[in-house]
Amino acid sequence: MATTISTAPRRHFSWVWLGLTPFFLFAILFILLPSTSLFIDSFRDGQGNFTLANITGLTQSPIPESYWLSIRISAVTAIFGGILGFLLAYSRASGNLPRWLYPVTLTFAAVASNFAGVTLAFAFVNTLGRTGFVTAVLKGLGLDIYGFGFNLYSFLGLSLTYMYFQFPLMLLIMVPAIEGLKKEWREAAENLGASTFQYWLRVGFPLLLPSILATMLLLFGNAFGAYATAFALTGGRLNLITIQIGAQMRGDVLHNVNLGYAMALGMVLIMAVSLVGYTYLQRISERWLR
Amino acid sequence: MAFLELTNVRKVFPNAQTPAVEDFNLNVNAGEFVSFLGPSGCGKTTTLRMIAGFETATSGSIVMDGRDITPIRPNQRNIGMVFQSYALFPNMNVADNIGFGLKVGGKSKPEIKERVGEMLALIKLEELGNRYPYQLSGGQQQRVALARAIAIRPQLLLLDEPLSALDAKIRLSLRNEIRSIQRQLGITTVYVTHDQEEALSLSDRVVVMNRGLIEQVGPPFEIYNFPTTEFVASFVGTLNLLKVKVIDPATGAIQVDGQTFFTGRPLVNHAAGETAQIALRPGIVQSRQHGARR
Ligand SMILES: Nc1ncnc2c1ncn2[C@@H]1O[C@H](COP(=O)(O)OP(=O)(O)O)[C@@H](O)[C@H]1O
Ligand SMILES: [Mg+2]
Repeated sequence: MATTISTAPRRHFSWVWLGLTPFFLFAILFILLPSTSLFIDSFRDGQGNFTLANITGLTQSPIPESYWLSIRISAVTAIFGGILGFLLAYSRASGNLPRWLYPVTLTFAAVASNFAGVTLAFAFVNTLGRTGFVTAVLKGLGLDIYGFGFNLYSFLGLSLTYMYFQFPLMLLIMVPAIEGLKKEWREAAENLGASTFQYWLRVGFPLLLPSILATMLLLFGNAFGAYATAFALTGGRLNLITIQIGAQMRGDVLHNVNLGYAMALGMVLIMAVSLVGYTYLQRISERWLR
Repeated sequence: MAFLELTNVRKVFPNAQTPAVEDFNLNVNAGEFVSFLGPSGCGKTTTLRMIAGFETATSGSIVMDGRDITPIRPNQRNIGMVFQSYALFPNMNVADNIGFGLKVGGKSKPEIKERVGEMLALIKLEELGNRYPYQLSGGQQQRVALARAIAIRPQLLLLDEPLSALDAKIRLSLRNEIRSIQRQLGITTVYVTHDQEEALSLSDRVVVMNRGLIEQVGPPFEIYNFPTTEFVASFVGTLNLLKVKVIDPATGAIQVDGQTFFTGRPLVNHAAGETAQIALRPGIVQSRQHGARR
């Protein structure tokens, strides 16, 4: 019997791959498989036959309006949450705040950025709702916010509620980004005659800009995918795309599950676009801040 | 009067056991190239940063061009600095990096453009004005950093281990380039290094430092051949330390193992009959077979 001896160098088994196995398993089970089945189901009717009806159905009112509302609320809260979070991170980095505030702001941000869903809605109803605590106090001071047209269960109200987790997430990501600016850049600028303002205008802020925009895209996705908070707060009054999908799945309206899949596919595509933007911006940032 | 005068400069960092710099006295003449040489942690960078204004001296004075600069903010000192890590602004191309100081100084666009062109020619990177720092080699980046520091026409140029991050071959060529640019511009320069060869080959004078103190100040030849302390002798170059008996300080006669030798110069601070320590560099011992001396 002839034996062949392999002369190829034996590849060493790398433990790194073993460590990554859960990650790949997770990605396949919860990202790849669902996306694929979502894609397939979007082109099927109730009997499992191929159809484009679900996709064309996306143009039927109120679905485009729902996408647009979701996009608007996500963009608004990403931009304002982003600006507020960045300003807080910046003032933290300037080092002029009282010492005790440093750990406090970070802990708050870590908790608040994860505070969403029914509890968050409940908290806002209790403070800014029609009979909420803050509403009552303001009314006592002669400021009837509902009289001025404010409504917690509206676009503005939901945006305010989303801000509660949006700006802390921005703060949480921007703090290390600002700390990642090298001391030498600041000193070099100063050495060349720049004031603190000139340094931030021409060096510090431009260097952070890709991270700022990338994180804003992250905030956008964060708000875009949110469902529980909106549902708990407004019931079905605001037609966000996630609420529409939920309605289709639960069978509140027409109960066309496949249309629901097509709507979700549309969401995935919008998320994918923002993810591409995120990756692009992150790459610039990494190249600069390496 | 010297151009740069450091008098009794001392720096103690908060919570530090020992001063980072102490009893630092040095006069640097206009146009002179002076190096701070010493092992890591001996206080070179701290001293340089006090001159630049990034650290405040605990006590002592720093006078430049007849003016006490200690109360002046770093961005008002008109001193150019080159960092070990280059510290180029990654969001700007080479030309904008070089023009940065002029721009924040409110110079006009044509003026900036002309000066940047001059600087690019000086560092021989005319073609690379539009490149970004991450597209350059380490050596090119450091040349840009040098040009950026010089572009503002500083009164003083400071370099903190500018070649340490580069590989040996580039280190050598850039070292010569730095020296030739410095000569060409006649700019007063303080250069920090832990590399004795660099210090000795570049400088008009070398300041050897150890543990926050100056060990010896002198031209490279003096430092190399006539170290005044054991530390300088052992830190600068390879050598052999020998215990010898002083025979005649005036003629430099010494005795080792019953053999008499002559040092190249009279032995000040020593008396006949005393035991002294000499440092012997390989390659410079001469023998004279037929002379009165051997
Ligand atoms: N910001 C600082 N805070 C506390 N100690 C420092 C600081 N910078 C430098 N030192 C200390 O001062 C001494 C001199 O440091 P440095 O000037 O950087 O030395 P060198 O540049 O010669 O290597 C070292 O002991 C160092 O640990
Ligand atoms: Mg140093």
